[in-house]
Amino acid sequence: MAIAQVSSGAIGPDKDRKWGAPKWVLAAPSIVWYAAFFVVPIVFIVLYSFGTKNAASTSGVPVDLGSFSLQNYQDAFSDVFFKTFRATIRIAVTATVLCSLIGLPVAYFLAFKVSEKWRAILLAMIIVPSFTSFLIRTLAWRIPLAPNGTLSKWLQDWGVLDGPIQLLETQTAVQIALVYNYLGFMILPLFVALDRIEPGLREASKDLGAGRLTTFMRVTFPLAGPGIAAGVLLTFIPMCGDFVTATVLGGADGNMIGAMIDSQFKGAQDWPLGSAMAVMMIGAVLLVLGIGYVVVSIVRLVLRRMRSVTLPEVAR
Amino acid sequence: MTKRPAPISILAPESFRAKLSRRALFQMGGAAAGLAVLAACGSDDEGDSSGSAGTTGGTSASTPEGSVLGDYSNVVNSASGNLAMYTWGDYNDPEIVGALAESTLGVSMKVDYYASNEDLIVKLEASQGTSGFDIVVPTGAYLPQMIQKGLLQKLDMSKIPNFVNVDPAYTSRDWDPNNEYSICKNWGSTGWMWNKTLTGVDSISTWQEFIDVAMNQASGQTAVLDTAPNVAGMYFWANGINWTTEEAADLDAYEAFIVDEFAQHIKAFDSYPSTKIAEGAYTLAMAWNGDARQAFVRIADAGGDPSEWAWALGAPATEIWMDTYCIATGAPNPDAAHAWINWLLTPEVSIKDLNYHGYNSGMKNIDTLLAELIPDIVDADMIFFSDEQVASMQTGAVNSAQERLVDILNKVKAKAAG
Amino acid sequence: MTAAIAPTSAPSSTPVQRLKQRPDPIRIAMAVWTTLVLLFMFIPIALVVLHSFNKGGSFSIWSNATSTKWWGELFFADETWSLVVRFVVIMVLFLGVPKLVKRVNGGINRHVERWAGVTGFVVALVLNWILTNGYRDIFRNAGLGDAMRNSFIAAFGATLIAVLIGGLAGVGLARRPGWWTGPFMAVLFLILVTPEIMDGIALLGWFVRIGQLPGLGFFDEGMVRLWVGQSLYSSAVVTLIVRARLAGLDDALEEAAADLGATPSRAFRQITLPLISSALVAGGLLSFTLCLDNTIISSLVSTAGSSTYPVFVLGAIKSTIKPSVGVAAVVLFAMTIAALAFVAVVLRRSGDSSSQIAATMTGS
Repeated sequence: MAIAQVSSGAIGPDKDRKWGAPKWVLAAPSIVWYAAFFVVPIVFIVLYSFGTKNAASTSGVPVDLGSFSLQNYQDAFSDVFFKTFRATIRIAVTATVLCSLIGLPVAYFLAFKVSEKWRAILLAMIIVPSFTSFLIRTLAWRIPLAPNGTLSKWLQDWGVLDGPIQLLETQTAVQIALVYNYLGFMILPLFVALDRIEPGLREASKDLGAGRLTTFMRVTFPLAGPGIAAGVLLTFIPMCGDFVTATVLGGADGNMIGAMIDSQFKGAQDWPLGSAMAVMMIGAVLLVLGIGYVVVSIVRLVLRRMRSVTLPEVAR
Repeated sequence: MTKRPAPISILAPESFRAKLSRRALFQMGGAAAGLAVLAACGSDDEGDSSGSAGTTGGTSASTPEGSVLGDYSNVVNSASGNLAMYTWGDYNDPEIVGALAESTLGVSMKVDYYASNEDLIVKLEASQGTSGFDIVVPTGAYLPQMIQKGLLQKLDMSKIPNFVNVDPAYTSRDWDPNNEYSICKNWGSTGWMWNKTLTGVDSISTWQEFIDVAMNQASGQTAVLDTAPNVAGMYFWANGINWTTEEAADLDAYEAFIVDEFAQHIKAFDSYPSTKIAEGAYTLAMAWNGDARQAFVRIADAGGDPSEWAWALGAPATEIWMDTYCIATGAPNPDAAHAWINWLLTPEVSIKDLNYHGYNSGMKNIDTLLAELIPDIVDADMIFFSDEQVASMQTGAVNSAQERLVDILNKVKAKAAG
Repeated sequence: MTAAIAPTSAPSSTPVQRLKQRPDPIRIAMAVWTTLVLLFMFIPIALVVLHSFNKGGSFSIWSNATSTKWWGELFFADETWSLVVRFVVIMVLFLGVPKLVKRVNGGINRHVERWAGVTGFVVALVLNWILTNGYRDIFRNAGLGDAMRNSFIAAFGATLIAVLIGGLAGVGLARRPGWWTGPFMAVLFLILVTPEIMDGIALLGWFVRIGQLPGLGFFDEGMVRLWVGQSLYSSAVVTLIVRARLAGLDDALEEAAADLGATPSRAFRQITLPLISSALVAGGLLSFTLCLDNTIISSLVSTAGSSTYPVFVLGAIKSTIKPSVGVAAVVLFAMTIAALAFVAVVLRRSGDSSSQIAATMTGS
């Protein structure tokens, strides 16, 4: 198809006249790179998910591919997997929601309420923390959260708490650290989306007599939609696969699906099962994103319909 | 120069340092400068060992009269090039894997860390000899499968004459009956630490009592080791079953108990609880003896009161694990690897290392050796065990039950996460 | 209430001043909230810095006493200070001399002025590399030093790859969509959602396999493996950013260039490249931090001696993290900030605003 679109004179659409090469040529390095270092190796791993474990193998891959079987998917389709997966999704969704709730006022402030000079400084300050190592920042959270730590002692001395802080090795700690680690990735896209909104639109809304809240809900928030979507993708997806945060802070409470897959590849040396779980996890994350997309679309549709009823009344 | 002792020096008494430095002058020539750094440990001075490049090639040094050290082989072979070691975090005296190895043997070392045997195996297996590591330090129970998979190469014992210094009790173990592939690095066992004040319990002497306290006074404040066999061991030892059991009935009973009754009391799966004990994260923790010994130092470091805490070795039975020095298949510099392992088996180096990590390094007549080199070592009862205790220790095995145990541990983790 | 609309850009006044002029409770609340959020974001970093001066033997346990001993444990003071001095002297020379010439002569070649800083930076980098045996000589703790060094080399190489292939693919997606767009985007999305452990295992096995082929033995090199492994995720991010950047601009300029007879490659160099330059810089920055933080893939594919900083920390995290690890984090942080400031200066010259950089950084 693409090869047929070699320069065809004045007949073809404008763009094709100017580029003598197939359309995908600019992406050719990427295509080669991903084919060689992502698609092919991953296809092998996905193939393993249909094999059986062979711990005695000396080929470097402890898997037998002799017979094609779906057994691993059946095994992976277990209560334990779903329980852990549900916990992971719950933590990731909560953290994503918290990130957007915490981040939205900040992004709004940056976009509409500060001068150009301060905006640059504040933006830089939001980006800068993510230039420290992720692991060490997470580890650093152990310091204020430690039951025997200085903060804990102060809070007890001041009578805020009557016992030591009991947050380490809990989901709350993981939740705090996840919000912390990904907050910047939420604020930036939100800010960008808000920053692009024409000031005229919001002023027009206010001139038409809408209050602040109405303006925000009716004008600003819907226009920030793409930013929220980008922020959700940039935070939610990595959170689902992140288990380092949970390993460092979460104790038994912070068991995440990534750790479970990791333990299949390593602890149990069961590559087929680990691979099946990973495939299921990818599917499930995509499913959750798909559901989120559908829900948002429906809400939008409903909102639009409601608006189309109310707006004429306001106009009258 | 600050004179305040560094944390390590709490475990390294003055007497040892003095003796070691003096002896090192006799025995190891160029190594002395490096050892002097140990004596200066905790200071900010710039005195490094690079000044002494001399190596002592293949000679056995003379020993002063009346010392037990004369009973040991002290061959130090020099080598050259880079030596890459893949080992557990913080598991060797930094001098021994750094400046001292360079000045004594002439090899420049690179050390990388892994967090579990499984990490090591998956890396070596998938690399198929291209990992670039010379020395690896797997636990004994994992050796048979590593040997079977061809991940390790045979040792050339003619290059390790100091092997005669190893106590025969720690050679020829089941996993490598003729020590063709492995030599004991050090061995240890499992027990628990608990906070007497916070739990209100003065004595926990058996695994059954450990389980009871974990399910009551320390419920929700208990950490267990993050390895499937150790969590299973807790139950099996409490019930008088050997922890290497492959019986389906035993495993079923274990699963029923651990998932339904015990899981909800666990706060964390943690193989090195010492730091977190000091942070106050647990009141009861299953721990390996060397890590528990470190915990007392850390508690003091954090301004806590170590006397609130107690340690006990698992009973009526517990494990004995042994980490071993092996040479990986495809090792780029096996000569240096042999030379380094051989050097580690000289008494001074072995004891210096022991003093750092706090595990018995398996030298023969280690009591006398220690009495001479570090008479005032602290918490020696956490490194050395009585004969009855040693007799109660069971060797682990990676057998057909392993997969099931990992599976059960995953269920426990899912349950514990609520 | 409705009257309190703040103009979006009051000329050069701080929020504080403006708050005095126009007391707006919502704005005050937001300013307080933003301050709190920034505090939240900086607390752990302040703690890392503080604990790098911990006297005790464990990073996370504060021993109530400060000491620089862990700095001394990581660096040889003399070598490190001479390196810093060399760096500062060279930068002062390269930045100061043109200014001096400008003042004395009353003018200077615009190109000299513009590129002096960059040249000085590169000269300082290379000179110090030569004088300190590739920066190895400044580290007393060779293991941690190697890890820091490897982190930078790996992240730099992977970012180069990511910017190169991601930039091209991004332009292709925005300007030359076709039947290939769908499958290609699907692969990009899969790269983003695939768990790292799966990528790592897959890649390691693959490197070993292709490393045995004649002429491909370099895939046994740890650094090559790291470059490839780290470039996957980051190139996908760069691709999306560049694509988003171009999607927001119509292609009239390129069309005009073509109509005026420019060859595709010339149109690309003179029109498209300047358009996406901020996206490339932003994507490169993001990619660099992603690579510096890459842990799971790196821990699997790295070989002896090529461990990066996160791999070093991950291997030790379950046993002991020493304060020297915090020292390394502080130094890595400072160096990244320095690099960032440097990029910011270069960017300011090319005229991009902070909002624009943030916009391209997040692909909007």
